[in-house]
Amino acid sequence: MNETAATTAPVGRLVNMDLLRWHLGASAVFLAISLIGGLAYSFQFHNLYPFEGVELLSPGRVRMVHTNMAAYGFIANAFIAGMLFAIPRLTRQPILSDNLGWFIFWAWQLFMTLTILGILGGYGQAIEWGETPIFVDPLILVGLVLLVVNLSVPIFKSAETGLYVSLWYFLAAFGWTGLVYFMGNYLPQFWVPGTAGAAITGLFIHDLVGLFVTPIGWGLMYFFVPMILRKPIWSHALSLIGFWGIAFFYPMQGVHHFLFSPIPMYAQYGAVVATIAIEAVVLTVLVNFFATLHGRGDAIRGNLAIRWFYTGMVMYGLTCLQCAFQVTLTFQKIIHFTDWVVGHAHMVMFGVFGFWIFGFFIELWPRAVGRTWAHPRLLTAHYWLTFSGLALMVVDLTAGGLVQGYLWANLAPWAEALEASAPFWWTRSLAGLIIISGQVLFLYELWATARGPVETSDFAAVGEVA
Amino acid sequence: MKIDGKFAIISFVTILVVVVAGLAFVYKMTEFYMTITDDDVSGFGPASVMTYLLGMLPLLLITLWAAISGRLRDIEAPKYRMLELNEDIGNE
Repeated sequence: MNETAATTAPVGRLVNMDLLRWHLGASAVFLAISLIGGLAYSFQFHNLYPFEGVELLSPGRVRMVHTNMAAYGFIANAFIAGMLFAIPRLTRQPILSDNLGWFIFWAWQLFMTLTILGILGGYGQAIEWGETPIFVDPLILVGLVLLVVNLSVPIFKSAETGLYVSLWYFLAAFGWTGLVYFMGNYLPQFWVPGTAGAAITGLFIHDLVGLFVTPIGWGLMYFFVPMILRKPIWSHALSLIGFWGIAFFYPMQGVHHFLFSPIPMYAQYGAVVATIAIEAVVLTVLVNFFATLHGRGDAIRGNLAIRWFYTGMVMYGLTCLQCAFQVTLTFQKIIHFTDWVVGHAHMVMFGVFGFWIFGFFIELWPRAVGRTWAHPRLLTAHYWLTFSGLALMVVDLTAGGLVQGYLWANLAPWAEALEASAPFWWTRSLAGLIIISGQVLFLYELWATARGPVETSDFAAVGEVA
Repeated sequence: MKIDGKFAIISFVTILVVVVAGLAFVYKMTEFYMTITDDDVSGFGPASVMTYLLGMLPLLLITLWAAISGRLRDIEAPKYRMLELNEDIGNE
């Protein structure tokens, strides 16, 4: 491990770069685990499952490892790393305690390991995106509380007279995440069973995206984009309007996951209407970021981090637009339970937040290891392989979902729907292989850079590409 | 009379957020509340509405704290200050 960045760089006084580096490293490890799980599961659809007959590695359990490690291993670790960098730089205050930071780091990785072992051992909780075993849930909640304390103290201690929008987003996520996690993992299991419990899991699924991943993701984007472009965000007022919109109007959308269910139709209509209307909030961030880019469009071509960020933003716009349509009863009649939904989930979690995280890596990893990127061309290849693989997967699953939905709606025999789906499933596996080949290059580049001979203190242009 | 384009865009989007998203949200929460009064899907309404209120209250307090402590006085200032801080701290 290189200690240079943490001990000699000026920012080392504010930011614990060692801790940040380990969180990024853990994020990369869980990304690999998640991708292997996803690829293995996709082969189940071709009767080529690699762990056939091994109960511990049965497809249903491996799929849960795939999704949980994407959300809580890959995304959460990278977000923590991003906040460890951004919060001290925005507040001029270090985190509350480095020791507490290390404790949280090791505890979080232990929780992820227990989650994998618990799910593979057959103890997954029957809650979508909340399959973390019931004995891990209290530990995660305690970990979240400690994380919130460690990261929020510098915000409240800051002597800065203004509160930048990123900090607003982080504070909202700090408040909502633990609450949403508690609601989704405990209420349906212990207090509100049956139909009401199912409705609450719907709220949990959507709030996890909207009140944990989205606020931290946008908070980090509001930090990194102006920092890299060296240009202030177009309108801070508009960014705050967007923040308050998401903080106060976004919660409790998820009933739209259970349309045509026994939940009263008037409650379903309420969720549908509110989901479509929330696109007004989405508009605030898209307008703001694209207006900020105005006059600096060359950065998309020349800076890889900016390219990742804005590609993710286009995906965000597309996925929100898709959301406004797919929550309607008209669309749901066709797409419910089809691969359309799987395509949508991949576009959101990987195409938006995963892409932003790759942008964070581009900016942070060289700083964290005190070296410039070893092979920038590998990073460009990583971008194109990942982008093309995901685009292929989303288009394929969306089209496949429509084919499945119309066949089911027309009461075609089940076998016919399966036969029609097969080419789409093969294409999905091919897309997965393309994505994974990109990540192999990326992981190698992370390793090569960390082990590289060139040390530098000039990180002004770490994302510049040829 | 010349209209400031930026001001017009921000005003339009703000009205859109407050009127469209705000009213739709109120409509949704009213429908959720009705599941309590109508005794439909017992437990869902209280759980969802209470969770929202619990999450919203701290944010409301933080917003009030920011307003009272003057953190919202010059609403555009923080975007310049964050760049200054980054310059001061350096590129590392």
